[in-house]
Amino acid sequence: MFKKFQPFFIYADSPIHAGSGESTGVIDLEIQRDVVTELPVIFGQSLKGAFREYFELNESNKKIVDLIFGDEGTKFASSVSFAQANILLFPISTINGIFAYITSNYVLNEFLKFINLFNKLKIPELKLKPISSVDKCIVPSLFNDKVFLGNIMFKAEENKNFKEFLIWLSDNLFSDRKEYFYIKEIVLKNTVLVNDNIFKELTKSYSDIVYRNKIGENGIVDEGSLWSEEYLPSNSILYSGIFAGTPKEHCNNIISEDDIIEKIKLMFNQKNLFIGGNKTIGKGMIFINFLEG
Amino acid sequence: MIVFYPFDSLFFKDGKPFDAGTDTIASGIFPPYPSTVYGALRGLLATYSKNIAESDVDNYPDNLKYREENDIENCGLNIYGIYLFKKNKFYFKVPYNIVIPKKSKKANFLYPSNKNNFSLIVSSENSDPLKEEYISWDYALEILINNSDVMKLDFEKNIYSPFLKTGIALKYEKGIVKEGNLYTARHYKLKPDWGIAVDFNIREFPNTPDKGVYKLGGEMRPVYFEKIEEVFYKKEEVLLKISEKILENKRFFLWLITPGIFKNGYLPDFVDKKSLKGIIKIDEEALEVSFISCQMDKPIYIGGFNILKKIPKPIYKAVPQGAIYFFKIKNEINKELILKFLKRYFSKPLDSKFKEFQKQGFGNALIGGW
Repeated sequence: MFKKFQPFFIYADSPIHAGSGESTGVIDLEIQRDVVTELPVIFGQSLKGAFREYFELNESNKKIVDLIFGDEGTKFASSVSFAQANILLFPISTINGIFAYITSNYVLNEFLKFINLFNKLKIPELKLKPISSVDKCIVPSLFNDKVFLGNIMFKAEENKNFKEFLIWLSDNLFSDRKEYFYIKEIVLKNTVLVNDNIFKELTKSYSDIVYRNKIGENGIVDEGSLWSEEYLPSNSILYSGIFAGTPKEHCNNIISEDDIIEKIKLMFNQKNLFIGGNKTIGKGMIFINFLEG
Repeated sequence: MIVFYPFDSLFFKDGKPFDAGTDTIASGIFPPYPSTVYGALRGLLATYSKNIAESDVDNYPDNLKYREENDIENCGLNIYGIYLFKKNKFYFKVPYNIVIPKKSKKANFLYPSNKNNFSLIVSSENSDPLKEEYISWDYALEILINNSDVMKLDFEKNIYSPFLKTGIALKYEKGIVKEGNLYTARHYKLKPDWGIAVDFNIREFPNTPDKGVYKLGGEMRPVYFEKIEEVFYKKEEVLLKISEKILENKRFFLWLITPGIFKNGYLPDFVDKKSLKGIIKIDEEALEVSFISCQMDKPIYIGGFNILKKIPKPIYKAVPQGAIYFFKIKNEINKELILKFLKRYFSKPLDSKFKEFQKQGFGNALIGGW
């Protein structure tokens, strides 16, 4: 049914709160995490909602919206499905530059597995051995044999294969958008591969936690109105994909899954939209870049 | 055979009605009902072979067409088995006669007891039942040939994790939440590399790719599918081993690996409810059997939703997978007859008075000796 697949990258221009809807710990409003790996994700339903909202506000023909995203009554289902967005590069503070990105073997393997399913992309083959030691890391180029991520020191080792992969990744994350040139340089020079467990723990410890309160009409804090919110930090990079199937009806030259993908690319490729909560306070702005073969 | 690998979570709704609101949770189940997998597979084969939308049922290939529930017998698709799958190995729900005593790590195989003419399955020690554990084919074979000397059965646990997904709907033009549209649904996430394997047969195999993407279950969750050749039960030496065990004592058991829906309630339909005797036909021959005992958990309720008619399907009481039935063979048998019996029935749905459920893969059973 889903015969066309279009992967894309998501770059967080501002912190993202795609809420889980429940809290298991001390944070009142937690972000979505994968139940098995506990890594930050954005569920497909959240992505679909954000895309649909942008589409509805920018497409005058409601029939096309319904054809692609589904009729809100019971006439027909959506022609597309959104895969869950998984974390690819997670930003973290460092003394070696303004910030660094971290990733791990598991994350990169899952990314390559996903991308390579259908697309004949020329991605450099990754031949990295899993990092078993928690205090070691791999860097694209060795400027210093010690790397500080957050407040943890790692012993760095250079790997040219990792560097080749990062060259490919930085070229494809933002295509030719000049305003993201600096971020591309950080991906290329300041991305560090760490142990899988360390990666998981750092994504938990270094997510953005914001405390908010409500001021009452008397100018002081309303009692009981302190709460905490978790965000995926700005500069986070995730990947996802859209699967398109044969549309249930035809409309305005949209008669096949190829037409659906073309329409979606026209609407979203290299665009900024909002996802998740609190957009009126500047949260959730993302940049979408479709990965081309 | 085809294997479905989910990209992320899966949602299979049970038969209970659901509406959005703060007090309701759409209860999900795992593994999916065979009927759900049947519908998905039928849609996959039809849409890929004819490049049509899934809802375009009028243009489905003739061997996949049916419009009414009772017309399913004319559909050329039959599901034989549904299994969990990882790295070329098949996994089955552990039967309910395998328990682990509280003070031991070695599994106990429980069988009907002959004491006082009651055929009860008893455990002499305080034991824990195994409700969520799965076992690979290598260990399953040990159970089927009643090798209770096997030192350790490796169980797979926590293959799938449930979690609640909460969602809302927005009024895009106003930027606020739509009232009454809060919903929570129980999804399941399989551990990495796990998939759902489906053994099926179809009259006139349509031209479909060896791999692709389809949807499985609710919420349009995408899954990657791949055809595989590996089938665990077709090896002659496997069936020979099992037949030798059955011949030894003229006894066999049926281990359900998908839920069973029988007109007899908990008893397979070939067993007469009053006499507890049955006939299993094998071409021109037959096995005359008497039912001894069984071990199972509480019944499950299988329903669904008819997408064409937009009404819920009737709910049926079903025997859960993992149930195990013990039989004695009454007539004279030989090796050839038992081999024929295994080739015909091993890992296939039991003959049922509900033909539509049998076609969909309900009541698939492994057969062993005891």
